Amino acid sequence: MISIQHLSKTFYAGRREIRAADDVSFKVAPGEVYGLLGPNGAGKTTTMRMILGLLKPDKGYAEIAGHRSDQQPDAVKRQVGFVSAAAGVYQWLTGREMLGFFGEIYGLSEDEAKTRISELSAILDLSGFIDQGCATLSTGQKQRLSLARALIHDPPVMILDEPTLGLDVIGSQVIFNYIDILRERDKSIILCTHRLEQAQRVCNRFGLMHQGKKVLTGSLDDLQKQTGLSDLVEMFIDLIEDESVAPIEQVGCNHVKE
Amino acid sequence: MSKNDNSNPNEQAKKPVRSGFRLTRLAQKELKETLRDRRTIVTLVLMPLLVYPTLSLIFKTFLLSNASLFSTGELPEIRVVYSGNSSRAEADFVFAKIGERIKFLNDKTADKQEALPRPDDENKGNGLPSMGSGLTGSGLEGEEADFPPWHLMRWQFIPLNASPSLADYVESGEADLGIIFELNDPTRQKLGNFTIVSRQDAFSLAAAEHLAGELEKANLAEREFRLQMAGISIEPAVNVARKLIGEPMEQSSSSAFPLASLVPLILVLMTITGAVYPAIDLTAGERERGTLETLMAAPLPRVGILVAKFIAVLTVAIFTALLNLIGMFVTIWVFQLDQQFGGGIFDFRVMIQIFLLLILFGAFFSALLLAVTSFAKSFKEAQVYLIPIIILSLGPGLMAMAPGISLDGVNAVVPMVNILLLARDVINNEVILVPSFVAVVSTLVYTYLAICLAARIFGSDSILYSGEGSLAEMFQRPTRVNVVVPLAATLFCLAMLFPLNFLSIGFLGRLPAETTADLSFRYMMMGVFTCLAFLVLPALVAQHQNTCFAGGFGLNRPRAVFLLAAILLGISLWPLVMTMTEGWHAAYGELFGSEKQEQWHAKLIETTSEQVARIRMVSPLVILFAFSVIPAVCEEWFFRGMLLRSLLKWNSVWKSILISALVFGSFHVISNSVIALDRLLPSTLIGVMLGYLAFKSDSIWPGVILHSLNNGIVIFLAYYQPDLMNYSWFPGEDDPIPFLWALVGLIVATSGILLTRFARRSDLPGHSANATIEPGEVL
Repeated sequence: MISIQHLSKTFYAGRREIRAADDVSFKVAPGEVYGLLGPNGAGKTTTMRMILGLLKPDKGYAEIAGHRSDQQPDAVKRQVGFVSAAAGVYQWLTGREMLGFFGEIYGLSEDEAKTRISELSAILDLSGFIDQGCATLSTGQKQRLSLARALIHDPPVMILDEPTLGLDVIGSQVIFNYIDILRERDKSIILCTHRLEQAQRVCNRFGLMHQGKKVLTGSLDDLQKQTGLSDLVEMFIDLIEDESVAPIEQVGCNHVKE
Repeated sequence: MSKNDNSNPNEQAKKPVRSGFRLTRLAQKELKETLRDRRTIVTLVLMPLLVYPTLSLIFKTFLLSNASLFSTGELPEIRVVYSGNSSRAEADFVFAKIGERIKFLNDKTADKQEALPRPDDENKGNGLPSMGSGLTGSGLEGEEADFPPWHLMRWQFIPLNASPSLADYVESGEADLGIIFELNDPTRQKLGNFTIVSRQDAFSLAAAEHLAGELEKANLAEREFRLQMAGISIEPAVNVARKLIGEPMEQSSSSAFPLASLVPLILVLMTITGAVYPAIDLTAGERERGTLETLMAAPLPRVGILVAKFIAVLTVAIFTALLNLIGMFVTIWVFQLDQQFGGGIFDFRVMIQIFLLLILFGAFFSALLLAVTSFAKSFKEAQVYLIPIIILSLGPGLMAMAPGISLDGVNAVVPMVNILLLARDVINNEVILVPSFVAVVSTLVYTYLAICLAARIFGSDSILYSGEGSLAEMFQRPTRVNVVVPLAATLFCLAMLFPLNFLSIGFLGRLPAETTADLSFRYMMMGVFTCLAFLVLPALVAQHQNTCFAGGFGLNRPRAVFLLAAILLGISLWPLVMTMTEGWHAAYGELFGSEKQEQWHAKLIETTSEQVARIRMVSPLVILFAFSVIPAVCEEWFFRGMLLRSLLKWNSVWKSILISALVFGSFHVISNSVIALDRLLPSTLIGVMLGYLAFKSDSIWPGVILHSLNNGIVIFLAYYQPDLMNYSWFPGEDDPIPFLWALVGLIVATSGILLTRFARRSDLPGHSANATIEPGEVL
């Protein structure tokens, strides 16, 4: 469903040359949650933006459901539900109005949008605040609303960039539980998060990025074999401490269900 | 999870969506959100409610503090409260008599032919006794004296019946003036004592001054009347007459001038104010809140999102304009300022036309605001960019208020000035069709260009996702080598050229007279400034940007075919340009009237003759360098070298050539700080030709040859004109270019163009691969 091939992007700021993504490749099959992990500034968000067609890659391409994001960005965007770290809600609209608006933008009729809003409202427990102005919502409520917005058109692919940022334990739990449900529904999901314990639970495979490069990739078992460490937190700390770590060849692609 | 969630996977996602509907929906959403924002409501509703009454009070004070305004035909109403030792009827009668005397005096001044009224006539005519006969008679009988208005004045007399005291009335502002009178002379030769009570503010003082003047007039009239009655000659010792000479000052409507110019400016500024907040909020604000990325992730074209935002901003601007228009007209009516417009402003058609002009201007400014705010990464940053723009927009606003300025020539195409002048003409009912049409069309073109610019900036990768970057980073020298100078650096260079141009003119003016009197020195200094601005500055910028000069300025060795084409074009373009200029002069006459054209043409001839006379005083070698070689090398270095090659990196060939040619043409319009619009079209067309030649040859050198030949021929034809005119074939000073010359020019120029067109683009061995640029190539 998702195929990423050699994505590269460099930014320039005066003298500085920032390699935000350097030859990043991976695939995600339906029903699979791919955890794209790494410290701040590793290049995860840039990679996600390139996948979605928001950023033009210097090299490489991303393909979603047969459409390349650099060539058919609209077709790609129709297949994707995107949640970013900034909840991105319209402060002067109510939750219902915002969801209705995005429903129509994604081609739902008014009735379809209404039905879909009530379904999502029930699943994500939005009913208590869906008719409130978004400016008055808490961070957790905004993030749930944002997830509902990304799901309004029932996309086959979800790109979740730090969906639990700023949420408390309960709020995060709601989101991760829902990711589990989405996987059961055969969605292809790319998840970028710093909640490593939760990621370890919900993700099938992982790509650990550092300084724009994918340095570790594979299932938890693969990563444990490669690093000799037992969990993601240890691997993560090891990765940051060992600045000299060299990117390794992609492994575990045989796990991809295609 | 519902059944739906699973039963029709991706069904909706794959459904085609009508893009028009989606964009309408997006625009509605943007508008709904903006209109719910209380900050919008503040600018939309509260501002007109607060601003106009305040402005009108200030204006009225300003108007009345200007004593000369009391002498104009239309006066504002002055509220006068009065009290004294006599009855109200008695007092009213006295005022009536004073009014009659002033009217008598004014009529006499206005029309010397009119015979003075005889005392008998007066007594018979209205049955009232004369002032001299005392305040008795029928006038005092009535409860309400029939109060004739004082000539040319609009007084509102308020009798004082009870407390508070007269001074309190005046002090509190309920009345503008107070009169305390004592009518106690039984002989009635003297009507009484008048004490005028006023506040110390400009309004009240000016009104008191005026009233005192009017009463003095009444005294004078009474004196004259009595002398006449006594049969004493009232011939003045000195007869004073006035005679006006010269042309009257061009002034459309003296009484309508200030407000007719001020009203459009205030409305335009308020419309700008209305558009500013939504423009920032829907671009930089959304970006800051993270909603812009969400929107960009939806299947909507980037331009579509921008257009929806433009519609929302424009709609708010239109609402603002409408509410301001209503607010202003209500205020004008309430404060009785309409007489300053000769009443014309309340014509419904005038209001509609002004509203339409505000919509047009709103569209232009909304697009401009979006272009600027799209560039900003945060609300605060957008505000920083907009403050100078709004302050700068006051410049054209004030320019349009200058007395004597009219909507023609360059003014018809200067943004904002054209709309303000047109609105003024609409109020004064003096609209001239052609310049008005030019003003409207040019504003539409600017709107389109601003939208294109905004679309280009809006949501571009570099704007959306680049880091904040520090000021120091902007000026740091890049480590990698650039093939051409980066566009941002070229635009910086371009922006610096305008102030440099004005500075150099100013600098020449400040040089000691003995040095500037030496024309050779002056022209050499001009050459030095041209080199500094067009050659040295770009070279320094390119050096700083780590750009190799061969690639950045197109210093490659051209093929011979392009040199030949350059020579053919260099010797043949000038008669075509001259013919075109003559055609433009004729068109100017058609557009703006032959009288204006003749004035303008005469001025042009005079200026040109002076310049040519000065040139002939200098050695031909200096002229060759100052007017031919130096401008050719320097201008090609910058316009076809740096600018065109930077543009070619990001744009198509023709777009780059056209943009560089327009910039080139615009620079020639502003020559010696005198705007000469007739140079725009020929210079731009030559710019297109030079750009095409530079692109095909991948070098600036053929352009340098063309440019210097063209300039050289024109300047030396003028230089040697007195000698050449001895030949019969040479046209006279005022004669047009002979048809044969233009025809030969056309044939030779066409050969040059065809040669350039069909020659293969330069890829000579020895050309550095890095130095050759391809259109649209991205760095």
